[in-house]
Amino acid sequence: MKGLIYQLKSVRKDKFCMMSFLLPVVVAVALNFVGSIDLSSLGEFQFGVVAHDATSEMENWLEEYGSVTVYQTREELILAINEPSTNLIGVERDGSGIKTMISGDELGTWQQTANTLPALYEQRETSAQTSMQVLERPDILAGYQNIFIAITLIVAMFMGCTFNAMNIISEKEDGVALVNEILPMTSRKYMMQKIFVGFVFGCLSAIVTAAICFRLPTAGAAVMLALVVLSAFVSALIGLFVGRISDGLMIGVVYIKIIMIVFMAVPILYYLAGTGNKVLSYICYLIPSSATFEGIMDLANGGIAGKDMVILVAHCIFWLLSYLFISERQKKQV
Amino acid sequence: MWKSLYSLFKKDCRMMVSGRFFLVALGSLILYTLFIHFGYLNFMQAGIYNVYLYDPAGTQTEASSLVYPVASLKELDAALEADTNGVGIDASSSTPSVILYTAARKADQHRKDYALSLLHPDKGYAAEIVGSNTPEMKQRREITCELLFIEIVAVGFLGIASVLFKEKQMGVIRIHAIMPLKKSLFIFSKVFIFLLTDLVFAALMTLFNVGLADMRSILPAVLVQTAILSLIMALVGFGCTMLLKDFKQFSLAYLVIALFAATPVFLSANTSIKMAWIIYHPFYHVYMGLKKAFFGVPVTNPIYYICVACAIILLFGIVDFAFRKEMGKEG
Amino acid sequence: MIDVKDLTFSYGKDKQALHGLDFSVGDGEIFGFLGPNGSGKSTTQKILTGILKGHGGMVSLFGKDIRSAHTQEFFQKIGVLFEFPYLYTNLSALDNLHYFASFYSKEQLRDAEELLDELEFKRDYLKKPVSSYSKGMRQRVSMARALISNPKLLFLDEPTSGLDPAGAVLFRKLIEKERQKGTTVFLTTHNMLDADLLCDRVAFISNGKIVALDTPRNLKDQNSNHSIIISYLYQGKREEQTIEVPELKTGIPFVYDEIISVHSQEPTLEDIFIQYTGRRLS
Repeated sequence: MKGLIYQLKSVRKDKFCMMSFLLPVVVAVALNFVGSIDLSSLGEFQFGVVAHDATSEMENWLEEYGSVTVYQTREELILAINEPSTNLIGVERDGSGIKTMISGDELGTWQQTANTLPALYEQRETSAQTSMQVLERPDILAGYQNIFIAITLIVAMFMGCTFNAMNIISEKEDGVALVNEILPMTSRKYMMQKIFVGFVFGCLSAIVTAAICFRLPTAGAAVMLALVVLSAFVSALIGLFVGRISDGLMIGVVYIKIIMIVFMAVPILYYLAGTGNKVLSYICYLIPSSATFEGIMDLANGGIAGKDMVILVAHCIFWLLSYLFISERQKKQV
Repeated sequence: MWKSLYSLFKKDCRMMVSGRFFLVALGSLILYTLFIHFGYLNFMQAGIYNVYLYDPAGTQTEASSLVYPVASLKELDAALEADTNGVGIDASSSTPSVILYTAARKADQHRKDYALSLLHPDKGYAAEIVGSNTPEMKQRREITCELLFIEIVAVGFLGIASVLFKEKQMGVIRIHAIMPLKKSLFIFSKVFIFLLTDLVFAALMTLFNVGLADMRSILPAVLVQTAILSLIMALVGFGCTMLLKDFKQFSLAYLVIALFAATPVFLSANTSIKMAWIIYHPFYHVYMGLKKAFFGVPVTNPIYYICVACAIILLFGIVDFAFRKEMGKEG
Repeated sequence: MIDVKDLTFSYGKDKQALHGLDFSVGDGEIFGFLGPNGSGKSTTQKILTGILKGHGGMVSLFGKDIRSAHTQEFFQKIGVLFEFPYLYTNLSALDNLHYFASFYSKEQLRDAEELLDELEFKRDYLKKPVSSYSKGMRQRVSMARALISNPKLLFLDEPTSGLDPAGAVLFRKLIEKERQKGTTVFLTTHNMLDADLLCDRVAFISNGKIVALDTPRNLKDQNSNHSIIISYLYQGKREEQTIEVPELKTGIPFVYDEIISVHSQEPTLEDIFIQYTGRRLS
C-alpha cells in the first residue's frame, strides 16, 4: 500500500503523465464546445461563374445545389477550377442554356455532375413539379462526430498503456529495475502496483471525457463505465508488456506509437469499410480497442454493447494469464 | 571549417545508421508506395449516386442505362435501405415521384433532379476539360504530397529529436563546447543531413508515385518546398530537444505538434472546409506551397519566400542560443 | 598562464556562486582547486574553459582577456577532462578518439592507440562499443581524449574518480609526466590524496570564496601541532607516547625496550580544510 502512495506521488510530479491523462479531456472539450465546424459544405457542390456572363436566374438555380462563387474573368475561373483542393465546376451561359467546365482530374461524381448539369438546367421546370419523399436516417455528420468522440475515449482509456510502459522503461534506464529485483516483493504484488496507477488514471481520464461528450441514461452510463474499466485494465496490462520488452525509451516510444495507431486505425477502418464481413470482424476483434469502439458506437446509437463487453472480458483474462505465464517462465529460466 | 563540418557530418551519419533512421525512412518509402499503388488509388473510386426505377407499366422508355430497374416497391425500398445514398423513382403513376434518404438539403435537391434527368438523358454532352491531369494523376500527386508532408513533419522531426536526445543523454554535447570548432556547425551538420535525407526521400517518392514523365516538370519546385519544410522541422526538432528535459516530455510535445498542427492543415487544404484563422497557421502555407509544387503551379510570391527565410533564420537563432545554454549545463 | 582577479558569477538573482576569486596559475604548474560539492569548483572551471559566460571580474588565459580569448586557437591549446566520461556509447574507443581528434590540426595530435596503451586500456576492447566498457575503461578513454591534442593547458575534473588504486596511481603518473612536458594543469577535485601528491599549490574553495591558497607543504606546516606518536615495548607491554618534536633534540625522553613505530601527527589536507571552512571535503 505504501508503495502505491509513492507511485501516485511520482505521477503528481511528472508533467508528462499529467498531460497524457489530461490531453483526451482537452480534446473532448474542444470537440464538444469548439468543434462545431460546419461540415455540411462537404456534401455541397461548388460552382464558379463569370461576372456579367451568368444570369441571376442561373446563379439562383445553381445555389439550390451548392455554393456559387463569381469570378471577374474566365481566366480566373479556369485557375480556380484547376485548384487541386477543390472540385469546382465552372458554369457558363450557352444561349438559353448552360455549359460546364471541369479540370478533368475530379472523381466520377463531379464529372458525371458536370456532364448532366446542362440537362438538369433544361429540365428545371419539369423537375420542380415532381414530388419528393424524404426518408429519415441518422445524420451522417453526427456519425462522424461520434467517431471522433469514440476515438478520443479510446485514447483516454489507453493512456494507461503509455503511462505503465514509460514507468517501467524509466525504471530500467535509471537502474531502479535492478533494485526492484532484490526487494522482498512477489511478482503479483509488483504487477498490481505497476498496473494500479495506469489503470486508475486511464479510467479517470476516460470517465471525464465520456461525461463531457455523452448524455447517457443510467443503464447506458453503467455500461459505459464497465467498458471504460475493462478497456483501461487491458490497456494497463499491455503497457506492462511494452515496458518488459523495451530495451530503452526510444524503442518503447516506437512500440507505444505503433500500438496507439493500431488501436485507433483498426476500429475506424473496419467501421468505414462496413460491418458485413464476419471473418474480418473476428480478426478486428483481436485488437481490444475494436470491441471498445463498437461498444461506444452502439451506446451512442442506443444499444447495450453486450457482445463487446464479453469480448473485452475475454481480452482481460487472456492478457492477464499471458503476463503471469511469461513472468513465471522468466523466473524459472533464471 | 570544412574539415570540422566533414567530421561532424560523418559522425552524424554514423549516429543515424546506428539509430536505424535510414532503414525506417526506406521502410516508410516502400510502405507508402505500396499503399498508394495498391490501396489508395483503388479505394478512391467514387461514382455518383445509383438510381433505382420502379416502372411497372414501362412508361419510361428513354431511361438511361445507368438506371437500375426494380420489380416492385418492396424491392425499391430494400435497394434504398441497402444503398442510402441512392435515389428511387416510383414511376407507377402518371407522374414519377422521387424517394430518397435524407443527406443535406442541397444534396437532396441535386439527387432528385439528377435522378429525374436520367429518365430523359441528354446523350453525348461532356463538360469542357480545362486542366491537364487525369483523376488518377491528381490522386497520385495529392496523396504523395500528403504522405511526404506527414513523413517530414511526423517521422523526420521525431528522427532528429531521437538522435539528439541520445547525444544529450551521452553528455557528448558539452564536449563540443571545448572543441576548436564553430558551435553553430554542430547544428548545421545535423540539419544538413536531415535536409539531404528528406530531399532524396521526396525525389524517390515523386519518382515512384508520380512517374518519371511528370516528375521532370515538378521536381525542382517540389524539392524547394521540401527543403523549406525540412529545414523548419529539423530546427524545431533540434530546439525541442535542447529545451525539453527528456524524450518523454518531447514525445508529448511531438504528439501535440503532429496532431494539432497537421489536422487543421489537412482539413483546410484538402476539403472545402475553410476555417477563417487558417491563414495564420504557418504549416498551412508551407503545405499549400508543397501541394502547388506537386500540381505544377509553384509559389512565385516573393513575400512567401521572404517570410519563410525569416522564419528559418529566427529558428536557427533560437536553436543556437538554446544549444549554447545546453552546453553549459551539468552532466 | 591563468590570471584571475575578483571573479564573480551568479546563476540567477539569488544564486551567487562565486564571490570574488583571486588566484593565478603559472606555466607548467599543477594547480589544485579543492572544495566540497556546490562550492564553486565546476563553475570556475566552466568559466575558464569558456562554457559559462557572463562573469564579473577579470580573467585572462594565455595572456589574453577571456572575453576575447575563446577562439578556435584557444580551444586548440586546451584539453578538458569532465567529471563524467562523456563518450559516444555506440562508437568504440578508437572511433571516439579519432572523431574528437579530427577537429585539431594533425601536427599536434598524438597516436590514439599509443595513448590508450599508456593508459593501460585493454586492447581487445579497442574496437568494441563504449556501451560495453566498465567505468574505469571509460575514464581512461576520456583521459585519452583530453590528452590526444597535446594541450598546453589541461583542465582535469576529478581525474581519478571511478578508478581502482592501480588506475589512480597510473593517472597520477601521467599527470606528473604532463607537468614535466611543461603542460599547465588546473585540477579540480575533492580527493585529498590527489591534491597532496600532485599539486604544486592548492586553493581551498568554500561557498564561492577562496579560504586558503598555498603549497600543500606550507599549509601542513602552518597548521601542524609538531608532535609525533611513538609506539614502543617496555617490560613486555606495548605502550604509546605523544611528544613534541623539539623534545627529540635531547633524545627520546622516556624509557623503552624497543621502538615499534613513529607516526607524525601532521594534519591531512582534509583536516586543514575543515579547520579553515568548518566543513568536510565530501
